[in-house]
Amino acid sequence: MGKGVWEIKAIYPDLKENQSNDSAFVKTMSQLKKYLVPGDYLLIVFILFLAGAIHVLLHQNVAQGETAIVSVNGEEVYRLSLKEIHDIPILGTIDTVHVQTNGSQIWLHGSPCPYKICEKMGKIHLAGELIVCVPNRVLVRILPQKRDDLDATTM
Amino acid sequence: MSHKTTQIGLMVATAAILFSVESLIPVPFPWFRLGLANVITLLALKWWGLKESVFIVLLRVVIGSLITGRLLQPLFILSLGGSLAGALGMAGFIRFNQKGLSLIGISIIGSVLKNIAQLILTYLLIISETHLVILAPAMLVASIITGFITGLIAIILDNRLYKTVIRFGSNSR
Repeated sequence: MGKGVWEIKAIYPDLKENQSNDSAFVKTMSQLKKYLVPGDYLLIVFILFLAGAIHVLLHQNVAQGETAIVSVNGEEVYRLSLKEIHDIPILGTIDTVHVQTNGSQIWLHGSPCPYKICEKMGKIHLAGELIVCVPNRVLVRILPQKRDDLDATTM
Repeated sequence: MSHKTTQIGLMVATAAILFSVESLIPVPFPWFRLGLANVITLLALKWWGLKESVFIVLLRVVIGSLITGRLLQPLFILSLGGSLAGALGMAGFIRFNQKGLSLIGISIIGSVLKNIAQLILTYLLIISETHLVILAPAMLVASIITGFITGLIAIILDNRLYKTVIRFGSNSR
């Protein structure tokens, strides 16, 4: 039960309501437009455009993938069909991680890595999508379906 | 001279603490890390220059990695390369600070370059797959967000931290 506004006003009669609870952060947020100069907007738009362009370029032929490649340390160890059901232990550089498919999607579970980023990347099914586990050096990639020209566009 | 040594020491300490505390927070992807230590790099660039800020970055990464216990591991090289690339990139654009770009814009540039450098280093050191580039769009968008936030913090801190650091450095004689 703190003091009411009227009580505070009784103690500090000169206090205006607007001044009372404006932290530096709130002030800054309201002055945000003053901080941002035209160059910033241009820069943000340019980077967003770049990101969009790369995204479109890479996902031109997005489709449901059929085959996934599992590689450890850059070397391919398994080639799985997404239409089948698998649950395969893969030996990474730390320990084993399980690769599972359910007939359309593929995902990692039971990873020994500290932050479980690869598990949070979830279930993937689109051609070209990938799951990376950096500490364990495991990479799961779904092969592009129609034409494999990704290397030509990205190199 | 000793004033400046004290001041740079304060900046290194602040950056190292920010760096190690932040690395304890789990994030879904490495580039969603805010990179709060970049605030210090940016301010050092604005107040002094490239030499001092690279010095702060090197010390910050080494000390921070000593604290978190991953000195000379792959993640350490990723941090070092990313931070250096960010610092050099921001140094190239700091001259536009009052002419067309605010600290927010410069911070976004630094963040983008940091993440690009980390992606390239990941490719070179850890996973040699050209398909890593599929992660680039998400990375760019994340860079805008993190760069924006760190740039905003830098603008808020600019005057206050300057006063604190300079006053502390002057009184400590």
